[in-house]
Amino acid sequence: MENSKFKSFIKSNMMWVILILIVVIFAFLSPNFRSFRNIMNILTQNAYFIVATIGVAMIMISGGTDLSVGQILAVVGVCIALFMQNAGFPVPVAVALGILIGVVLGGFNGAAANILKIHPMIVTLATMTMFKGISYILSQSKSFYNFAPSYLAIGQGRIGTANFPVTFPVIIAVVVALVIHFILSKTCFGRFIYAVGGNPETARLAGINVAKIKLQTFMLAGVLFGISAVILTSRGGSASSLIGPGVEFDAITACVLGGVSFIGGAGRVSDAVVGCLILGVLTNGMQMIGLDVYSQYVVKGIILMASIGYDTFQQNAKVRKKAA
Amino acid sequence: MEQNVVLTMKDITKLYPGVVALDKVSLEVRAGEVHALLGENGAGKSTLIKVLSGAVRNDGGSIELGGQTFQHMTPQISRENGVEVIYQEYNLIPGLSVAENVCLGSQMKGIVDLRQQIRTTQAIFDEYNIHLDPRALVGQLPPAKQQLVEIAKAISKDPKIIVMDEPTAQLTMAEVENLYKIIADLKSRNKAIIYISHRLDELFAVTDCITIMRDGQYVTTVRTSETDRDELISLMVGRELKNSGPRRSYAEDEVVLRAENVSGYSNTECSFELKKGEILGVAGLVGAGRTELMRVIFGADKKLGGQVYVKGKPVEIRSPEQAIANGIGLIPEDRKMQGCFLNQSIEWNISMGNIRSLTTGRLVDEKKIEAAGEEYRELLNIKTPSTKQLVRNLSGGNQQKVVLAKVLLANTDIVIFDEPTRGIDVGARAEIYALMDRLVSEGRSIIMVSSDMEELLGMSDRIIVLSEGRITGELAREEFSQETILSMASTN
Repeated sequence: MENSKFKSFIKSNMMWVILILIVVIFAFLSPNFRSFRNIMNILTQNAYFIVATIGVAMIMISGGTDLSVGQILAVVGVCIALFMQNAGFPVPVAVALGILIGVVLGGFNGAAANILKIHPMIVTLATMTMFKGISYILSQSKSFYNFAPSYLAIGQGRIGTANFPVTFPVIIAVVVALVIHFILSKTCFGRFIYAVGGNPETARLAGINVAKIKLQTFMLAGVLFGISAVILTSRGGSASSLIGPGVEFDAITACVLGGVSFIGGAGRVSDAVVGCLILGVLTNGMQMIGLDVYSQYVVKGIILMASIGYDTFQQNAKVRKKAA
Repeated sequence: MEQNVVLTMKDITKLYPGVVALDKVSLEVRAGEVHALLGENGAGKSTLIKVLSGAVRNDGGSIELGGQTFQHMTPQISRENGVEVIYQEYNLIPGLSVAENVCLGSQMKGIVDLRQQIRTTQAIFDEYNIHLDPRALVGQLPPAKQQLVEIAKAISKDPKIIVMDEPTAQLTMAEVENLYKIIADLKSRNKAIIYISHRLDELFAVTDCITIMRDGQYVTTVRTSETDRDELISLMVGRELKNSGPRRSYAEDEVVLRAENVSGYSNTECSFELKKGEILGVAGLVGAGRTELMRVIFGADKKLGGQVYVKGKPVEIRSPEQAIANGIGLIPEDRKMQGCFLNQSIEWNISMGNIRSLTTGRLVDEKKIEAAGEEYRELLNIKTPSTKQLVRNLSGGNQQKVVLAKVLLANTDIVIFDEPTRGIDVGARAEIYALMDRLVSEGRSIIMVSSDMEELLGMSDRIIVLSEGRITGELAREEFSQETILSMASTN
């Protein structure tokens, strides 16, 4: 019994095992990789990505998907820059308004999917283009620099000692992960997200307001996209229409890699996080051992296919065993 | 006994981890014979068929087919030796025409000749009196017609043995008659048919002999002409089910639900009443608008006119959420698509019926969910080692019980059961009836939509009959008769 419990624990956390394996291999190959500073660096670099991916994971669990994340990040980043530099808003107000814009754009996606009754994938394919236009109209293709030090501190600040620094972005990402994990597992709203993604018709007949839950999920994800944009632009010290886009596919990749169901109804915050970390560690580790960018793509692709292939193989093996 | 034996399955054993699915089961099938496989869900009928079709590899025993003896089948060997299986879930490609589906698999080389396919298909249709356009798109056909396509597809392979798994599950009474005719035709052409069904009256209508299985074991084989219902049930269940006679009525005079001229997309001006403690049966042919009417009342589909009263007060129900708030629960017709979250656990499913009742300080309380799961597992006798088990892995009857538990958790005074026992074995059926009885004895009220005549006549206190979206009749217990219901159901 103990043994089978351990086995099922390993099975449901297989991606963490794979992550540890990858970390061990790189640690073995490269002394630079295994420093605390580098590990913290990987986490800091990926903090914004983790936060955005958790948002995407929530939407995927609710049975949708979001291709417009990258553009939402760009719009929010540009807006915050405009609020601070053109409108002269104080940093906290600009940040709050920026996150609010994330909520509005997320809500727009959710409302459009509900009202038009089309799959969020199609809706966000359209809004992706729309938001791109909006971000360029707002930024007028300009980049924004020279942010207030208090804004930069969000992305660049740290606590802890010089040898063991813990950066603000990492703290923010951890807090976001814990809060969303709590919401998904402990609140009725969280359960409803799984219900709606697992079987919308069953959920509706059980008295769940499916459209409302979907909309709220998109809006909550919008909060995360807003936070993600704040981390991204404050850490890099710049905002433009080019900063953000591209994240959407990485986020979906990380979710699928981590084990969030593409058809909805299943997935955990930790799945999204481990997916991000595997991608992040791979990128960093391969740089450390001096692999060129193009070889990196090939290796990443192989690992993706292998890990997802393994997972599917496991699933099928289970089904074969069960077939009665 | 003059016919040739075309299939002998001997001592077939199949082990799954922890379970003996088949324990030395034997089966002998003759040409020109309709041979029924009967048993409760989980008795091993499907596994036996899967061994025959090569979908599952047996661990012991042998199969004699077409003069050869095989230790195991593969899908290919099975096919080549003339075995065709028509599964409950049809294996058709909705985007292709009838003819293309019928000929799928038999013409796998070179260029597809559509005209040839249409000719082949039409020839089969003519031979078996099937009225269907070979050019029609399969995806646009109703289930009954799709089944005809499946049958034609099987016939086109010129099989010796045709297996039909619950062929009538989705058919109306008229369509069932039609199926019987086709089966008779197949029989007269010396095909052997293995027929799986839960509906005993069907077995008496079409089969020649019946093999009964229980818990993975072969019980016995009887000639249909030499047995009766009670014997079959006791053989199948392994215990005597006492025939309780007419059930006691708990109906009172108080009207708890009243529909007045309710119209929807499929219904026009339906009016009826439901009394406290009553089981109101809703009869009609498939497509008569029974499910649709219930969905309108439940707020799942749009109401186009009329008024619903709950306990005398007019209510406006625009969503299932509001229906439940007004004390109406619905157990939907399609348990997989509308009743269950298949990839979640039993207790998780049940909790979704009313998660807010399972919270502590607004947070979901796992302990309460577990307790609720346990409570309903005992109450409804859900057969599972643990309520953490995924609903996907349960048999149909147990899945239905989970759906019941989920709806019961909401604790509504009125419960609408839509086809509560479709595809469910005799044992589970009796348990569901006992539960319904209990609910009304506690003063709740039930509307029961059913296509099962026995169930309607046996359980209802009163029956309303629908035809083409309208209520065409109402019968009190004394007036119940199959003939009257059927004639009302086919009124225009």
